[in-house]
Amino acid sequence: MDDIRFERIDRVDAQGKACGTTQYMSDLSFPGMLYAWFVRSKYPHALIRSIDVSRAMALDGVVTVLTAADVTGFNGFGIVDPDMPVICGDKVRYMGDTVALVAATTERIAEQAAALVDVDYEVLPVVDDPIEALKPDAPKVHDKGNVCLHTLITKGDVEQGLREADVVIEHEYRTPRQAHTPLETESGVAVPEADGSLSVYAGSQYAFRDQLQLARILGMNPRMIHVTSNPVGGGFGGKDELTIQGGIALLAMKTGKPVKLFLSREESMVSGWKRHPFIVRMKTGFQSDGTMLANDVTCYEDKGAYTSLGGPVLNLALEHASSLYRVPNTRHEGWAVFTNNGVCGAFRGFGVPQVLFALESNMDEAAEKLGLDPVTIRRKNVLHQGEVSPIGHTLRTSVSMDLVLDAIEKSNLWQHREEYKKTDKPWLRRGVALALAPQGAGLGLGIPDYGGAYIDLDRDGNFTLRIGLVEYGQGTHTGFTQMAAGLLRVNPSRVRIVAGQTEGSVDAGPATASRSMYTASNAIAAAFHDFGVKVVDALNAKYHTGLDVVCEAKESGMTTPVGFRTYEELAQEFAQESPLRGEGYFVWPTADREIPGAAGLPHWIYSFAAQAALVEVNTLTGETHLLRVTTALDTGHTVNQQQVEGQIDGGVAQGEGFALFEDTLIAKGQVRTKNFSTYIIPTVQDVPEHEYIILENPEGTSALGVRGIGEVVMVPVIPAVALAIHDAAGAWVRQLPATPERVYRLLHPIMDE
Amino acid sequence: MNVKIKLFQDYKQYHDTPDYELELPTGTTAGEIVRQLGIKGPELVYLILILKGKRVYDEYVLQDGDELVFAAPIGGG
Repeated sequence: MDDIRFERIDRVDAQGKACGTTQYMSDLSFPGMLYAWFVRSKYPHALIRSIDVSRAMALDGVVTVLTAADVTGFNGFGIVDPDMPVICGDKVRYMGDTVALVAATTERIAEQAAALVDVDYEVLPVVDDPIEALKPDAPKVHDKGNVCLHTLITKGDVEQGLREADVVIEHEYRTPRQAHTPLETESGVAVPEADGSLSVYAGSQYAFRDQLQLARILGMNPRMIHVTSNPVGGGFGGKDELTIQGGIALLAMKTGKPVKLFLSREESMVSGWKRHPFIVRMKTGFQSDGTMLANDVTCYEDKGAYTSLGGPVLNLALEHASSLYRVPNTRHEGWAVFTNNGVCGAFRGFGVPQVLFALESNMDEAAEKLGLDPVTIRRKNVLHQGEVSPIGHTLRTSVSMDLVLDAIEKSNLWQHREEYKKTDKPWLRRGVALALAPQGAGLGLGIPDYGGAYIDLDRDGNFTLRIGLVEYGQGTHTGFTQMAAGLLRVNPSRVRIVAGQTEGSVDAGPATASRSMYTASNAIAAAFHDFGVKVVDALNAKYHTGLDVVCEAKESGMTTPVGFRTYEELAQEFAQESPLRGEGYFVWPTADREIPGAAGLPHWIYSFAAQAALVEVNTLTGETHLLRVTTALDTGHTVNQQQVEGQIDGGVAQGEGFALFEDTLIAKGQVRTKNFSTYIIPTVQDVPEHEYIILENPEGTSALGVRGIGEVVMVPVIPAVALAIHDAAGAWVRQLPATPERVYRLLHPIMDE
Repeated sequence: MNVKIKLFQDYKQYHDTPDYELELPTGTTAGEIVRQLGIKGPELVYLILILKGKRVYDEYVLQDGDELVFAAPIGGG
């Protein structure tokens, strides 16, 4: 398979998306369709004394109003712990909680009816700070208390390491509650079918898990629920967990009619999942030559109201709190804490951006104090394959920390940074900084991580690739198509893809955790191998040859026991029989030993990137512009460079938003940034010029050498921007986003006095 | 025939050890093992059975040497 070369082809989904003909789930309509409205909580924390739906039910056009008592199965959802009610019956814990569901003949009537649902609340005190929430007398978000998860990982003797250090850098860092802001908000249609089954069309990141969560909510056999979740109008982790599916499914089953919901941006911002804000307290010790001796880290994760993936996010953060640097003594402690601040869940990077902002900042500050170059101090500490990580596991798969570091050092931006930093206005200062990141890929130890793919030979000699993994903008379906086509030795235009459907595609796990391309590479390769076996079996059976021949794909066909056959010939030869199908299944390799006390750790395969950023700071206003970014990225084996560049573009923009603009502001449980006039995301005017350095250190456990890159491309740019502000204007940024107000105050501390 | 059972996450509570082996009569289905373990309620609905990276369902007839994994579809990262 080493001779497979991939081209820079256009995306397989480009035309439909560019021309507006692609049907997203939110575009679908069905005859007799009703419209849903979710009645949201009036308070961030309150007991529900009673709910009266009679006024809402009396409104013309209202078909039904459901409350908690109407949930037919288990009234809760959540990937890890189903502690989030579909409809709250006794208590609300954030402003997005649902207290009733309305279905009506028009969206307007549904909205009007929602306002007529009378709820009698007993308002409770709000807890909106994770450290305050840990105090014994803090209001309890859940009866079980406010600690969602506590994890402690230690290695060596951190106190001794810090005592022996020549320089100790200690700071507290804070990171934002970033919103995913997909173009398509949470939306979908649930359709009851004549046979008693239910079809749910809603963009999400894992149809097969949605199916099981819905079965649990409805009290139905999962196989009577058909979920289609592809294509998705943007996800970034925000559609990994269920969103609106449970509510519309209940309404559809109750009314016997299709029910649609499409959240407004405001409702999405209030009710939707967000990135967990972290408070990171980090104390890092270095020898005078830059060698790291110890890192003492405590993280407080603002979980929001419900569990979702807060535990795995915390643990991945703790796995990366000392990056993949050689640190002999570590103490990584974390608390995931319930508050009334919305809900937080999966988000691209999954805890890693939060901790690496702190670590890379401590690293640069140490370098400055020790008179070392930022590259030198990192090179001194990066780990290699076979060494032991800061949390104590041996790195057995490929490690590319030095590869990306060397590449970023040689980049145009870094080599000519003094030139780039020149400005002709004295109040404008420019700075350049770099950072690097590993990103653990896959679901981690102790969680079955698997995936399947089918390759079907169609009647016309073309192929259908069936795989569960959805496309939400990453370009993966183009990559999957190219991998299948490369193995089959056909033009990619001859491979059609069916994905993200519980009927018609095969479970390949969630489209998360930088796992899609890697999982697919192995599942597709296994399916290709099986396809060859099926061809031999079918021809042997037909010609009674009984030969044990391994098929070899050649230009648009295969060598077989009875000679070379084009795929058209094979399709014709078996036209009267079931289509030839290759089935491939793959199980991720994992470590053989869990890090004590840290569920899911360690991860086994990592992504690697280094990024350098050029910023310009207006010292009069604090306004900061990101002008240029260089990314050095290890893809393992590039399948489509255009899609890799696209992921870098998107990742850099999302990292820029984290670093400079984005934060969902919540005060006393009330969301203050409900739309794009107050929640600022980078626009085309803000994104920087990019330089891409694509490196290929093949990941040996992938049949095609590929590794995921979707998350890591947004990580190093975040600390790089913060550190470039320091390089430009001398201020160390400890809280992101680095808004003009924050930067101004850092540059003009006298104003605070 | 001999079948290996591996229990993950919440399903570990259904047996003394998360990894164990069973001697079973030919024709035993995966569903019979699920019932034997007494998995019920929401945990039964949220259960996935995996065999060599492939989802299988209750009616799957176990084969000698199979390793049947019980798990919930956790993800993310």
